[in-house]
Formats: sequence, C-alpha cells, structure tokens
Amino acid sequence: MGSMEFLYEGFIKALKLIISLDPYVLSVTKVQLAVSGTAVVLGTLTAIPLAILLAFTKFPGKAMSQGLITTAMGLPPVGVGLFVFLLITRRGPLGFLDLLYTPSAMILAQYILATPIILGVSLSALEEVPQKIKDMAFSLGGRYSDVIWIVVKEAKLGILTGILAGFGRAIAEVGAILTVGGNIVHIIGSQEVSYTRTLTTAITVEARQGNIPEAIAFGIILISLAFIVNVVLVNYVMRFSKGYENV
Amino acid sequence: MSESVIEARNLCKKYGEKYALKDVNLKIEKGEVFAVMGSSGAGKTTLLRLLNLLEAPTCGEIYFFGKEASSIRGSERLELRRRMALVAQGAPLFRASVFDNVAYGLRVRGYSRSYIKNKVSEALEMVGLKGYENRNARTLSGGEMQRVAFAMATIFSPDVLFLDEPTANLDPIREKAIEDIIMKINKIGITVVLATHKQNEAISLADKIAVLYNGQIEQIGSPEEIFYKPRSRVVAEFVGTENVIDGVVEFSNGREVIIRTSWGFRLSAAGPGLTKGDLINVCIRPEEIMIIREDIPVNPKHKNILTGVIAEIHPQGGAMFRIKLKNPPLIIDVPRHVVDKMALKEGKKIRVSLKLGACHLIRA
Repeated sequence: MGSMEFLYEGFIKALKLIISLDPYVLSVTKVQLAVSGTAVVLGTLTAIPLAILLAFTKFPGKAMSQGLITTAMGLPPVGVGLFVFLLITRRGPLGFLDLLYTPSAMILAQYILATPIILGVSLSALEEVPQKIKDMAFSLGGRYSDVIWIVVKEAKLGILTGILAGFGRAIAEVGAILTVGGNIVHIIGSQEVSYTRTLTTAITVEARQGNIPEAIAFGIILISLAFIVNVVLVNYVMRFSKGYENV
Repeated sequence: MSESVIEARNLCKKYGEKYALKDVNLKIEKGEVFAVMGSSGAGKTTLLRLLNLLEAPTCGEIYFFGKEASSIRGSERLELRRRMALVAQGAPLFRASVFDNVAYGLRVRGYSRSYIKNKVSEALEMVGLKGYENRNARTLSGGEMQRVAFAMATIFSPDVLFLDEPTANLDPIREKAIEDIIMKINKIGITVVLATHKQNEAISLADKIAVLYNGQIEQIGSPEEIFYKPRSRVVAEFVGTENVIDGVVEFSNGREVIIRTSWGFRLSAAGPGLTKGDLINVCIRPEEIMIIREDIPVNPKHKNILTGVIAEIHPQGGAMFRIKLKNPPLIIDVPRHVVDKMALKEGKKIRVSLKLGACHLIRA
C-alpha cells in the first residue's frame, strides 16, 4: 500500500462524509460559520461607522491612531487568544460572565482580530475617494450627510474588500479560538456534536489522532469556503471596477 | 441696468504664506457669460471655488443677489448653494450609471421618482446624450463625460453655473460641441462663469472677460476691450498680442503722438493724453499689420511704413500664415491668398504698414 493510495482513500471517504451530510462534520461547519460570521458582522458594525468618523474628522493624533490600526491589523491570533483568555478566565476581570470555553468567547476573540482589518481597509478606501467627488456632491446641492453617503458609495468596493478580508482572517485562524474555545465536542447519544470545535481546530485534532478522512473533509470545506468568498469578491471587482482608473 | 448676481469685494485667498488670490473685485450680471481668463496657476480654479462656496476666502466679501455670503447660514445657505453648480475640470463623475449621476442634484433635493425620470431624459437630450441612461458613467469618453457633467449641473436649473476649463483635453470638434452646449445653457437663462485659458473660447462665448494674473485681476472688460485695448503688457501678451514694443513719446500734439521704439524705428499713433517723455508699450496684434503690395506706390494712406525681410513663414491653421520678420522682429498673420498672390517666402523683402488704429498704446 503506497502513500498515494492512503491519500486517495482518505479523499474518497472525506467526500462521502461531506455528501452524506455527516452530522459531526455538519455541526463543526455550523460552529465555524456561526462564530466567524457573528464576529465579522459585529466587527463590520463597529468598524464601518468608526472608519466613516475617522475619514471625515480631523483631530490631533489622527496619524497616530491610523498607525495603531495598521498595527492592530497584524495582531498574532495566539496573543489575542491569550489576552481574551486572561480577561474571561474565572479570576480575570470579566470572569463573572462565565464565558471561557463558550462560542461567545470565540466570537469575542475573532471580533478583536477581524475588526482592525475591516476598519483599516475601509478607512483607506474612504480616504482614497478624491476630493473632487466630495466637492461635486456638495456643489450639486448635497448636504454634509449626502456627501458622506456618496463617499461611502464610491468606496463600497474597498469596504467590501475589508469585510471579506476580515472574514478571511476569522475563518483561517486557529490560535485564538483554540485558547478561549477549548475545542469542545459533546457526545449526544452516540453522536459527536461540536460545541466549540471549528473547521480549523478540528483539522488539528483529527490529523493528530490519525482520522485522515475527517481531517481532509474539514480541509475541503474550509478551502471551499475561502474559495467561494474570493470568487464573490473577484466577481464584484470585475463588475464594478470598470473605469476605476478614470477617477 | 441688470441685476448683479455675484459681486466680489477685495477678495483674497491665502494658502500658507502664498496668496492664490488677491484684491479681487468683480461683478457678474444676470444672464451673462463671464469668462475668467488666465494661464495655469493664475487662480482661476480658486476663484471659482470661492464663488461656489466650496472654500472660504481669507479676506473680502462675496455678495450673492445682494447679500453677503458669510452672513448666510444654515438652511438659507443650503438654499443659496442650491442656486449654483460647479463643473470641475476633467468633469469628475460618480461611480454609477449615467442616470444616477444626472439624477443626483434632484435626489438630494427630494424630488419624486417620476419627476426625476422625466427631467433626466430632458437633461440628457439637451446635451445630446439621449438614451445614455443605463451606461456606466466611468466608461464614457472625455467629451461624453463633460456632457454628463453639464446635465448633472443644469438639471435643477441653477441661476449660476461655474465651468472650470470645460474644453481642456478635448479635440477641436468636441470643443466646438461643448461650446454650443454652453451657449444653449446660457440661452435658457443660466448665468455662466467660465474659467478658461483659451482665447477662442473666451472670444466666442463671453460677454465679459476678467484676466487673472498671479492671483490678481489685471483687467475686466468686453472681449473687444480685452483683445484690442489691453490695459497692461501682461494682458496684451496673454490675449495674443504678439508684438509688444517698448517706446518713448518723442512728440505729442494732444491727439497723435510720435514714438521712438526700442526696435529702432519711429511710429505715429493715436495717443490722446500722452505727453513727451512718457514711457509706453506699443501693442500690435499680428493680424492688424498690413503688407503693402509691391506694385502699389506708397501713398499718404499708408502710415508707419517699415521694411523687413521674412525670416520664417508657417501655416497657422484656418487658412492663415504667420510671418516672422527679421529686423524689426514683427510677427504678422496673413491669409493664405495673400501669401500666394505675393509669393511670400523666406528671405523676401516686404513693406508693411501699421495703421494708426492698429497701434494700441499702454503706459509702461
């Protein structure tokens, strides 16, 4: 039995798991989407208003705050995981909330990771909208709010890129959710059901335990999700970026 | 007397330590085309932006319909802004369909969908872009973009339209089409303030011209005054008076003067009010110089006869030729038929006459 056969067999079994909608695989995927999705939605709701505020105001220390955002875009997941862990552990300042090893803790960690990315990318998109566009909206009789709205519309491609980049960050990271989520699976009846196990953490566990088909199945799903996100983005770029250079 | 729509008093604008505009005084009357001429960096765009309330002046006042702008606040200011529109240089457009671009001014004013739809097709028809509603605005050609920008800025029937270099980067045919649209816009009662560096455009469109130089207004007047009676050397040179010659008044009888020029010859010209010793510039437009046919004897009608040798002769477009003389270094524009008939070519010696009326004198 060669190594190729072993991979081939694993791959076939993985496809069977996916096509048969294996309850365990499904529950892991659901947790991943719920956690990363919620984190990105909350991150978007925080980052976009903040980006608009930063783009349209001038204050001392603005350059420094932008530097801070850029730095935060590259926060190491394990570090963030540790920070959230210390925050919500029983003896930590938010220990009373009893969040450790819950999906909420994972959402919090991914929220901290994704928000700066959404904020940073959106902010630079908003600031790249030429002054001429703002002037035109104003000159054509727009109120200040109309001008803000047109800038957001002009920057929507960049803002979308930011949201998708944030999602990409959330869906790909292991370190933070492993630390604060605990990679927990409940056994209901004889069935394994994920509580805080996601695609990424599952892959590490299954591979280590020699469950190659499961590991490959999770890998396929994870890569497909990332792929779908990128296809959507590229399509959107192709459709709306025509004449982009004409600004 | 027509109503003054915009009046600027002692307007200035400073960026850092440098004045972009200084001591600007002007009045724009209702219904006229007011051209602001000047080379790049003269302050045209800054002036338009101040008048459109996009920027605040550093000093001075602007009156709109008799009311001082800085005293107008809140909703009244919004109403005032909504009586004007600016089309910036290069006609920037929103990243949207042509329809959404043109509809913008009416949307922010809260008009109904059906009203906007009708108005957009009317506006597009006026600029010659009927049926362009669903096109992506950013994929249009330069001339089409300029037209869309006009439709955007006129759909809400402003009182005043500011146009910043509307024909920059356009070929002559599209330039003409844009000028026609500007005329049309002006005919429906919109006062047009046009910033341009093109003489032709100012001549063919403007009722009044202000020449800006280094942020200051050198002269305001009708196109005739600006082009044929420039008040300063700067204006004369800017409006294409190629021959500006330094001189001093040698003799004056109160009406006519005799001038000794730095080019070595003497000229007589109409110079009321000048006295002996006055330092002046003689301005002669190249098309105002007459070449005397060889077979015609000199007669008293011919004033200021000079002889010179043709140094260069080039076609100018529009069936005109430009001749540069050697000593005196006059520049002369003549029609092609004259060039053909007189067999004018480099090296040929010719006689020219400078009519009294062709020599415009400015005090140096």
